[in-house]
Amino acid sequence: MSLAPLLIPWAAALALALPLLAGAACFVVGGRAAATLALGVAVLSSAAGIVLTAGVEADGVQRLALAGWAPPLGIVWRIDGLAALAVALTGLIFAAVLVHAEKSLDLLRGEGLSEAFRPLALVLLGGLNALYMANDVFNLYVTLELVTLAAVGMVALAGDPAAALRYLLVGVLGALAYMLGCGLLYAAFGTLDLDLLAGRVEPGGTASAALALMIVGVMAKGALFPLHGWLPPAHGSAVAPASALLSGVVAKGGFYVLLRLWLDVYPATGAAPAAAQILGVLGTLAVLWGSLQAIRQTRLKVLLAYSTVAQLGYLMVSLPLIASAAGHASGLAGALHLMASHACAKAAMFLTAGSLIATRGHDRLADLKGAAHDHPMTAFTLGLAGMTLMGLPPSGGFIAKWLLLDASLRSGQWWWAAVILGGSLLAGVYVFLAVSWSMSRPPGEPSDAQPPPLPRRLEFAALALALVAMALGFVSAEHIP
Amino acid sequence: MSTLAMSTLAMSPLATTAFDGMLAVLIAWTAWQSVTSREVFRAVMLFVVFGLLLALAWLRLGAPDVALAEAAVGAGLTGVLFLESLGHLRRNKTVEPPETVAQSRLRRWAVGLPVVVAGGLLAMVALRLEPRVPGIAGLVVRHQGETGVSNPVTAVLLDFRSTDTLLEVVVLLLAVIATYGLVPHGPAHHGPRVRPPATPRPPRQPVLVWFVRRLAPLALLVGVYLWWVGSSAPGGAFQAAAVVAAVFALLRVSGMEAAPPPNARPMRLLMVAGSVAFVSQGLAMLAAGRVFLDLPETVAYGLIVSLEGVLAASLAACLIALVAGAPRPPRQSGERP
Repeated sequence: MSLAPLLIPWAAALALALPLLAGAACFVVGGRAAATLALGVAVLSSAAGIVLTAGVEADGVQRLALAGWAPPLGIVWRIDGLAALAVALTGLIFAAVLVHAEKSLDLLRGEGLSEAFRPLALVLLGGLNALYMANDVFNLYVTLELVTLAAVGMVALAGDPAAALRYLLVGVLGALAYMLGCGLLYAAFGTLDLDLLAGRVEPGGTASAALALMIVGVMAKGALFPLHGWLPPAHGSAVAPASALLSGVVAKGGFYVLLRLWLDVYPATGAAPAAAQILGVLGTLAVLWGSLQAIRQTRLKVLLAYSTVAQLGYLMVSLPLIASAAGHASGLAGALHLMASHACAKAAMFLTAGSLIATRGHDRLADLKGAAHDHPMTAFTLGLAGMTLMGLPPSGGFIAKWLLLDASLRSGQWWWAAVILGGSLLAGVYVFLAVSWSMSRPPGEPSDAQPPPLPRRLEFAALALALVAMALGFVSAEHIP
Repeated sequence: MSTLAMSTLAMSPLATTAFDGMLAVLIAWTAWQSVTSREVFRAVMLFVVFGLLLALAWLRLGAPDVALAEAAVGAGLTGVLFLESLGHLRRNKTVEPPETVAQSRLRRWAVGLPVVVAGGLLAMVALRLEPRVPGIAGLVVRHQGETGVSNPVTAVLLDFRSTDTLLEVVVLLLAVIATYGLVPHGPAHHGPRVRPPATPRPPRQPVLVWFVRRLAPLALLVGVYLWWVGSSAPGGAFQAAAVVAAVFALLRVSGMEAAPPPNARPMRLLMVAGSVAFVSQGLAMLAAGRVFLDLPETVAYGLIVSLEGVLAASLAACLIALVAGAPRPPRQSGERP
């Protein structure tokens, strides 16, 4: 007998419930117990994702009717390979970031910051897990709101208040557009469930208008070009562990919803493939603009934030590939690989930035000279994670780009292959800039003076994530969707 | 009840149309005035009026639950939050210098034009909208008996789509967590009890004080009533919480504030109680061999009413915390970085 019917409902419910309960607890109490609880819950959340993955592997896609009501009356969670792996990987990244944050935040700003960080991070984790499993356009909206609000709170925690406010306002506008689209869909087709919508939606003005509004909404929330303007100041100014979660995980939230709509509802609207091409062109601009801006930056965190804008561009470029018949399978696998490996790599890089800031008090590239001499493991992590951004073998980023190249050639859209290769060269430039500053020797005589102390766990947390990004290069993408 | 009152007015179709037309024009006008007003206080006041008119429109559309929520949360509480922020800005003299007339005109057009174009397109789509498949109203009526409550809106919010409601309750708690995070400080047990934000008390105005003294207990009673009646008529936890929080805001404005110290542990416990109770109830059902968040028909009524009671108290605490603002840091450690 299969264990799935027994374990999957528990794993799914706990993936939401545990982070929420722990988040509430960490709002009331603090200290060492709260830190242990937060870390434990992140690990358990990841374990729940592994259970879900195993269940999906054994018994296929699972649908859980929440509160016992099936759609259209109730809400289901749909747990497929994509959702299950997302839960597993997100828990893992949160665990590493929490290990880092417990030490680095207090080193940065004195006691208290990690206490405020914990409940925000845990509620964010619960919101993300609910987002991954959601299969209802309104439920997606609520989870996306939860995620955005937690993310704004993280930027405001010690970052630039103006950047946080701008993020909030863009997020609210995006939510409004998305909500209008939901309303139109429900008014016309009488349901909010994605599976039912896929069967009911008919081509026409209503469906197109609804989808357009929803896509603009998630583009604003997900910082997809040209609605990315809020991201660099927000991710660049937030405390490094927060940036790691935001750039690594939260930034994919918008695209995740876009992908869900794209796979389920979009084909039924009969919208011209032109929409896919338009999004692909915007993605190209994101890759170019984000990379060029990253190259110009003088601070490591802002460089990394612009790099996120560029990497999100690749995800948009994957849409015209997914929309084509010949490139669908490898395009989708490539996009998922890119999301997963970029999540780990970017989180690792922000954590290394956090480690450097914790010891040096700043992240100005020009003054990072000698960092590799003082903290070789951190510099190594930066380079290792950078390989995924560039797409060098054998990293996860390499497999992702290989799959996307394969998809563009299979579907005869060679121009997207050019974008992917060109973008990788630009990524090479900005990763090289970041790594080379840290590798270069400080001026003057090499001294035997003791390097500024850096707690071991900060270095290990970042390295672990960089290694996962690398290991994803060895995972077959065949069975992810 | 309110829809009933409206329909028994027995207005002639012409009068109804004229009323609706006037309402629509007024809503658009107050919205425009609020957005374009160059004085923030006036904009806030117009926003409150806009919210009340909108509540009236919901009533005309036969959605008294939405009307109640719009009036309590959209107009009332949001208005209070805006006024509090405005007062805070004025006290701290951080109001930016007003922009020039030309700048403001440019901004108006830059925002207004796209809004008008997008609104026009939307209106076109909405007017040509013909439902291909009916919504879930029929299904709700058919299965309402299994939820134990006779208010269909409550049935949707606390049973059929309770996952959404759970997450919305968490959103409100999260708003408080994020607000408290703006000020660097430890959790409740760290350091001495935090002082409430030092707001220069407005001078007590005898008439206001006399009035609020009599209004506050009545309003509190309305809050309790709204919670209780939610299972059978428009009302429920969110509306009840908004009214209770409004009582607090009134006391605050009239200088009689008995603010619970926002950083005290009992206050924080109350704020998380709603989310914790909701999640725990969901998990308890799973442990009982049912589905997450399921409500067995036999006990559904009791569970919904009791959960709504906890939610009302907890949400009220969250809203009060938001009105009171973030606690000040325990030490006067200078500027924020």
